[in-house]
Amino acid sequence: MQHAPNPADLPSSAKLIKSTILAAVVAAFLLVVAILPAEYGIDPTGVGSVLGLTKMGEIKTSLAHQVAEQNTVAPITTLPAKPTQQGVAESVETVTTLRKDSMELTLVPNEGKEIKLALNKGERARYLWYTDGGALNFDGHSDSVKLKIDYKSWQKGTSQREEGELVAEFDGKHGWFWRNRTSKTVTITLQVEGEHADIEEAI
Amino acid sequence: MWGVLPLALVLVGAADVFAHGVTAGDKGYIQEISGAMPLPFIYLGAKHMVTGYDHILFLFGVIFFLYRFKDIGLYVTLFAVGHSVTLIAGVLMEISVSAYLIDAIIGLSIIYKALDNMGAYQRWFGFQPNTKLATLIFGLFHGFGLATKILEYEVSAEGLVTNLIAFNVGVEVGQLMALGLILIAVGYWRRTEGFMRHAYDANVLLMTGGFLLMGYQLTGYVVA
Repeated sequence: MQHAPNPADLPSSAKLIKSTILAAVVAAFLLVVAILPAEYGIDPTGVGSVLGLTKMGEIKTSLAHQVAEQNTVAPITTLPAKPTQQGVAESVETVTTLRKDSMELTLVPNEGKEIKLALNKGERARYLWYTDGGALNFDGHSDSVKLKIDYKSWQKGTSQREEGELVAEFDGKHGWFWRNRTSKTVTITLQVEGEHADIEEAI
Repeated sequence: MWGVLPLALVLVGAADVFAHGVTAGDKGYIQEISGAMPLPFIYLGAKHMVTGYDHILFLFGVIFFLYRFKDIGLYVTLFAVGHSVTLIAGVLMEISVSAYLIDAIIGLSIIYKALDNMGAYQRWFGFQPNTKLATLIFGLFHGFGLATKILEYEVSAEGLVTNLIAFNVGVEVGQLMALGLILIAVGYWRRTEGFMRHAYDANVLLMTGGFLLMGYQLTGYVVA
């Protein structure tokens, strides 16, 4: 299907030069109003914010920083989340002691935090968490070093309040990761009552 | 409301717990949002196309010997219609074919077009397959490739249709921008004496690229 171009069909040199200049100008324009905002959150004209692209860049930049931190910070440490611990022994039907914990987490905008319960397969924990304001992105998930399970998500969403019962699918750590994508600091209150051996904030 | 039993500070050594993994980039962003957000998705669609070198290479092959805007417009539209149909249908119907296989077929489309430009089919088969039809059909496969990537993004169901259409609009915008750059570059080249002399070799290079992509994707399919 080769056929040489008819010179009449080809653009003139002048036209090509004009097109090149135009392309450079358009590219510079797009860079400033769309690409720099959307990739880096840099918005010199303010147009990026109007288009909703600056927010995209801010989220991407904060995620990139966190990935970089993840890869440099080691070892992973866990601190007790200073929960309240009360033994509950009044149940007539069961002999097991349920453990009750209650704690608060504060997340500034764009911050993420995580709480995990140590549960063996089949063990349960009832939970309730709620925020003092905005809706948070959350990811209810589990992992297990012993079983080499890196990450298994069982509930994802955006919400101000969630309650239910966690039943551990395998021996490991089960809990939630919350991310604050609102523009205000949000405090979460988490209450759990169950058969977990431990509760901790994962960093 | 502090507990009766103060807890000693426990510092657990490495690998006792997995902290939540963070996904970076466009996928990370998409997973953090929900609801209809047309402008960001138009941006993401355009970005996807402009950085989608396999789509760009095919497009380059298609317009290689097209000189009139009318012809360029027609073929680009055929390609756009093809990939738009499968982009939208593929995501909404959650057609989950292996991304590696689809991308390998996209690599094949580049090989096909390069050979077509080299006159291979007329030489080998004495027959010129309909180029418009080929562009449309390969467009369908390119669209499936786009759909599998979008499915990997795990776009929230809320506002999905709006966002999908916006993404598609973005893909077309990105395509036009890439096309503009290609046409400027090729416009300079075609005015030189070397164009026709090097046209064949350029298509051989294009075909090599197609084989590289295809091999890379097939390996991924087998290995991953």
